[in-house]
Amino acid sequence: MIELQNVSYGYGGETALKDFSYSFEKGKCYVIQGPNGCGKSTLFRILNGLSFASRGKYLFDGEEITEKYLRDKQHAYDFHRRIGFAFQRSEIQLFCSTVEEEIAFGLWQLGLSEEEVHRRTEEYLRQLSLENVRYRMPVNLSGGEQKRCALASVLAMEPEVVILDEPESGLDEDGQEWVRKFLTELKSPERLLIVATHSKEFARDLADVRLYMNREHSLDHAEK
Amino acid sequence: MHIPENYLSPQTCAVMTAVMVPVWIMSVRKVSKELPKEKIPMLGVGAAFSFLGMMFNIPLPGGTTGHAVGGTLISLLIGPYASCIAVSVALLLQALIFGDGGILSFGANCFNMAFVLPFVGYAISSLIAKHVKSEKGRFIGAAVGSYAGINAAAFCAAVEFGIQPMLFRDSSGSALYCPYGLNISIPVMMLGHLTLFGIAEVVYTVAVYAFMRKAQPSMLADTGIKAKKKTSPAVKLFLAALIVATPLGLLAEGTAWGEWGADEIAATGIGYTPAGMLNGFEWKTLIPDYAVSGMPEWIGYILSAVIGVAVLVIVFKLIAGIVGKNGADEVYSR
Amino acid sequence: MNLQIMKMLRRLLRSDAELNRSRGKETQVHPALRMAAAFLFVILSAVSVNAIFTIAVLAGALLMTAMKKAREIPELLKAPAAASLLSLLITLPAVFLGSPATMLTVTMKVFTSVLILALLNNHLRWQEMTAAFGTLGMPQIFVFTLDMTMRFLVILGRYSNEILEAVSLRRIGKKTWKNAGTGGVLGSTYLHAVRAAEGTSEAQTCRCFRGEYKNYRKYRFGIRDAGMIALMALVTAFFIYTCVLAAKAS
Repeated sequence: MIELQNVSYGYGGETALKDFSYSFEKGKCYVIQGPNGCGKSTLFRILNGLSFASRGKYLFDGEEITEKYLRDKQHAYDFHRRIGFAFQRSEIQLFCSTVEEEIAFGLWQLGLSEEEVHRRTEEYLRQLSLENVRYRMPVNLSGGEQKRCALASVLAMEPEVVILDEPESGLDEDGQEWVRKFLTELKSPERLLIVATHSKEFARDLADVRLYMNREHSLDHAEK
Repeated sequence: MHIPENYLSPQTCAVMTAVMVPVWIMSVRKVSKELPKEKIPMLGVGAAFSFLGMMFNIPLPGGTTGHAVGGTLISLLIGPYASCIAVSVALLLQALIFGDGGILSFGANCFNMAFVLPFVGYAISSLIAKHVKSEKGRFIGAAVGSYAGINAAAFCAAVEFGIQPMLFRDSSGSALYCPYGLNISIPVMMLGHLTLFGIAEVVYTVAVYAFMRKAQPSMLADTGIKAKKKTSPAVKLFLAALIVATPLGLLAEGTAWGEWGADEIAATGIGYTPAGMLNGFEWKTLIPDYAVSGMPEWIGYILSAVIGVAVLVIVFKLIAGIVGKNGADEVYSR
Repeated sequence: MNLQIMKMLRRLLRSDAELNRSRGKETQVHPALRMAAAFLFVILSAVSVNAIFTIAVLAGALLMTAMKKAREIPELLKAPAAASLLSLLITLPAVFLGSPATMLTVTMKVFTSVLILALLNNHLRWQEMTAAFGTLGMPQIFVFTLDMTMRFLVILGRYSNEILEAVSLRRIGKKTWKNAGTGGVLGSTYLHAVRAAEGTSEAQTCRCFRGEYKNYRKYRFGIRDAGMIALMALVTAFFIYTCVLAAKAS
């Protein structure tokens, strides 16, 4: 579904990603691990269309994703609909005035009917245990609540690909436990999950495939 | 019973104020030490009751009017020292905003209505309650105490009035300030207060006291019940009812004895306007005599009542905030 | 220094949490209506020729203030008090020029207006106010910008507060604006702001942002709303009545 061919990314003489090649298949959960600064975040940005490779190709369902490609509004719209991305720092990602608006935001953008928007918002509020904070400003929530809110806002759009950058970061033990369980339940044959993490337990429990990156900003090896 | 501006010589006013200063200081000290923080906003409610009570004018045949004060009532509710503060604040409000009672004579008015009245009333009602140990005893105490209190206050006011012509005369022999001597002031003041106004005070005191005992007994000083956090809706409703009923006080025509304006006094029989009143100090108030020009009087009256009550409640909530700073945040509510 | 930031944050957080608790009741009056009512009262009392109208509005505002919790009142009265004091000083010459009534009237109007606005501010949460602006006709983009501004204030407030704490921990001796490395703190905060803004924009892109903002909650018109409208009508009628009276008198 997603194919990266020799993707490299650099800026100002610095290399952030070097010769990354891999194919991601639908229905599997890929966990990416590696030391800080190895290029995980850069990889994710490229996958999400926020940054574009200096060299190499990024193919999403056969279509090559380039800056020019995404300049077309319809292409951008279709592309972003199918990929959901949860940032490492939730605070940045949350920009609406209440939690329920945060979740509904993406749904409005999808052009869904009002009933559908309400239905999905209520469902995800429930699923992620956010009902008792639904009127609060997301920016004022605790770390765990923010994480859940960010997840809800992304998942409510029901994207085919879900990319999570260190979902367990900043959470206490219970929170991490919760995320682990939740993500396990999230796996489905229709979905492609890509998760970056530092936690070995996470990787062990979740991954169908584990990808290791090294300090040279490239893919070291993959394990099943 | 409010003594207006220029009825008492500045010297008298100064003396009365000087007497009140230690009383105020002591009252404040006592209250901040002894009154539980939760009860301080109740001071505002008490002051509101007093303020409203003073708006109901009662006519006396002969053309003058008077009113209840409620000082004893408040001392039964929250103690005499607190009552002193509450009534003083109510009087201050009336003097500054409504022109009821003079600024210079504020000390004298407080002496009468915020010191003599509550303390005498409290002393006597406690005495009675001690000897007649029953529910009835409390009510009898309230009645007798308030009656005694208001009359004691009236007596003091009469004396303050009466000595003016004796002490302060101009070269031609006419009085500079209040022109009626003790031989007139005492009988007239006492007549009114021993009869109608005293009864009014008793009725007001007993009625509200009984009401409070039922509606919010935690407010009373003599019951050991811990103060509730909110003013009960019944009390609020009662206050509202009183506010709406204040225009009844307008029905009583005529001015209270000793509360005539400078333009009225000549007609009361003395034949001239004392010089001190003509040229004396004048304070421009916002809503003089509870009336606003161009509007039917009753609207002005009700508005004045609303403003008075609101300001009193606000002032005491503010005081509670300052005095009770150590308390937990949620302690005092409406 | 960081005390001021902390105070602001605390106010925001507290109002946020409090209103979250009370929000379940749909019977509250629509914020836009409250706002419209407040503006109406302020404008009418400012324009009013007759003192009685302003006094009536003042009475109402004071009554509302008296019903607030004791700890909210000082905060509520600070702005009106400051504004009235200023107005008193400015209009003081009127007393010497022989028209003390002017000073009283103007000061009273100022006090009343600012008190009404303070009560509105006390009652509504920021989000409700900005949403109310939207309902009253402000383009949604402005509403969103206002909300975003608020959000960034919170984020940056927290960030700069953390930096200030770090500075305090490292600093020996008295901390003032001068020696706390304020330049560095501000620069750091600015960079953080830029990054946060970029992040927000990217997050919006990832969620298929197309330029439209919509409201999730649709308010239902209730009895209290009707009551508020009735009150507004009554007050306006009273205003007209007082104007007529004044015209007759002159």
